Amino acid sequence: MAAGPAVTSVAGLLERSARDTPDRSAVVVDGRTWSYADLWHGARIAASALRRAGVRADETVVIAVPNGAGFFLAFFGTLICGGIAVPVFPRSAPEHLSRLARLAGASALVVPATLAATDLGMLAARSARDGRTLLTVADLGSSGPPAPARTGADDPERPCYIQFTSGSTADPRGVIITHRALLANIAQMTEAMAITPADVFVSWLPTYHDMGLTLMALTPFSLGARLVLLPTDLRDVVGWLRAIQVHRGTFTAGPDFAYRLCLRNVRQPERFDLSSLQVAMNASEPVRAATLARFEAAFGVRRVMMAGYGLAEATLSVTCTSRGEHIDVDERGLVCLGQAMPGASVRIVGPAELPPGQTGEIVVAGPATCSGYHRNPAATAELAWSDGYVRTGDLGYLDRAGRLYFVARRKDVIKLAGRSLYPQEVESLVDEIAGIRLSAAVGIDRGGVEGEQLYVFAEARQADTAAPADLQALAMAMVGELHAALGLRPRATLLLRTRRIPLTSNGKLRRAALRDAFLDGSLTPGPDIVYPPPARPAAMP
Amino acid sequence: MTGPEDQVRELVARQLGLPDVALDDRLVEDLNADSMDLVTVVAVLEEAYGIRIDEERLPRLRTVADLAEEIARGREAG
Repeated sequence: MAAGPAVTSVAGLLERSARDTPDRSAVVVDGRTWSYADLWHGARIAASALRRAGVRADETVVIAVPNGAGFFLAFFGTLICGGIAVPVFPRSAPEHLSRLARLAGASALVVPATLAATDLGMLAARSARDGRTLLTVADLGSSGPPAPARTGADDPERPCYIQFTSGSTADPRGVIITHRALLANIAQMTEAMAITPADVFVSWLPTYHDMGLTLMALTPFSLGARLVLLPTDLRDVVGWLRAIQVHRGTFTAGPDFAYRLCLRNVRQPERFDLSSLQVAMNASEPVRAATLARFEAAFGVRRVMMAGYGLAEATLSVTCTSRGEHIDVDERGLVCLGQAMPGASVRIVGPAELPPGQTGEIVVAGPATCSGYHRNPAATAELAWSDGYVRTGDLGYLDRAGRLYFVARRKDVIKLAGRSLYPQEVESLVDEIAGIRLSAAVGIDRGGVEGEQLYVFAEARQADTAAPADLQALAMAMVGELHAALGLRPRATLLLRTRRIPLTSNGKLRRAALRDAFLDGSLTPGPDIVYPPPARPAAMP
Repeated sequence: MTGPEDQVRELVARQLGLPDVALDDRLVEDLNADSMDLVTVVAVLEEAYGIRIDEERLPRLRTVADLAEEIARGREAG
């Protein structure tokens, strides 16, 4: 790597690659190749547009843009302005995007130019009311002088971006990632995963989430490596595999779910030539031992799977196995997730530190752990364990070599195809619907390829008297509200008679007990569940 | 008495949170389903009918009627 002044900001990483390797491809996306010089120039023009729109240092910019060059222009443009980027799910309904922008205290909101005129109008009205500027990606490319190239050192302790893991108004979880933490995690991952400028990254992971952004985009950008970026479409596993073959990809990543889909759904896997692939990172949901062996056998690759553990509160990556290493599985079938990143530390506590082999809560420390949640001092206080360690809420153990095994998920958090969802975020939306008395959201994994899915249970106030059509309308309202706010639909939306959701003596939801009652059949259609109606026997064709 | 086509319509409508869907409705263009919805709809149908639908066929399953046909095929084969 060329020598130069130490980089103290994330925009500085891209600036350095644009200076050292201006003609190398940074990103191939939507049929166009952006060189590092192109991407940096575009980011400076975007920065100039954001500045004209009133974005100042330390202000937040909500970026609701799907995978594409426009996302990076908005992201780096914000950083060049000295602002704080807040990447969010791009397809939320206007009222929910506006709510998130208010939670983040955003001075600007960037959306795709292709948004429907009615949505743009609604966003413009709400932005005007809140004193926020609304821009489309097209506005970021409008003519104007590029912002000056940056000079001198930045303060690395400033926030770089905020990753919202829950947009619930009552308990928002916006993890504040500083430039220091992000630069540190990129350096750690580069070393631990032996990433070089010769790597070719192929990714369909969303850039508005930590793994798609930090590992799959910012890390290659920091090295002058190439990223082939695909749309976020889980349906198209064939497109993913084909992109690895065509671009001779060496590095890809996904949750276990994505590899299971490849195994289940791709007939004749041998017709894909994945011989270029060196790393297939498997992280962000529990890694299944069966997936590791079966994926490599089916696609004729060897020792490409890399297993890892991480969380947004530690920027992204905490542990991973080594490149080319065989991944161990313990006698219980738990997959080894490797050693802590260089400079990071993982301990198992319960509440005092536990010896190797004993299961307890995973706590982590190091240069990449976050300083807390945006505007949520209560949640921030709960995050700290002691000695600078951050609580994960996850259960695991360390073997004698200090390698981490994940045992169980942090309480109640629901994992959907790699996305973490707090049940409170779902429940707060459902509880506001007229006719709902109380709701509970749980994740259930029935062992199928689709993995864990969201089940929403809600007590209907009029369950005993309502007509079937009214109950159906109520269930539809729940699905519609969740889809508009969170961009997802539950696997099942169940309406219950009142007082069917189990509570503790002080009124807290007992989600695990509810899930068990549903799975063991003690919550029955009719006496307890009033919607959906009991299944009729399927008619023969 | 409803036939399998009506049951598929009912299951798809319930999954997508819609009052009703027609057989010729296109899942993505008309019903606003995204890729995760399609994975879930397929899982729901597979569970209800005890069949397996090859995901590689998903891009060809554009309408509700296509799903109903796929299920009829799967049950004959199974």
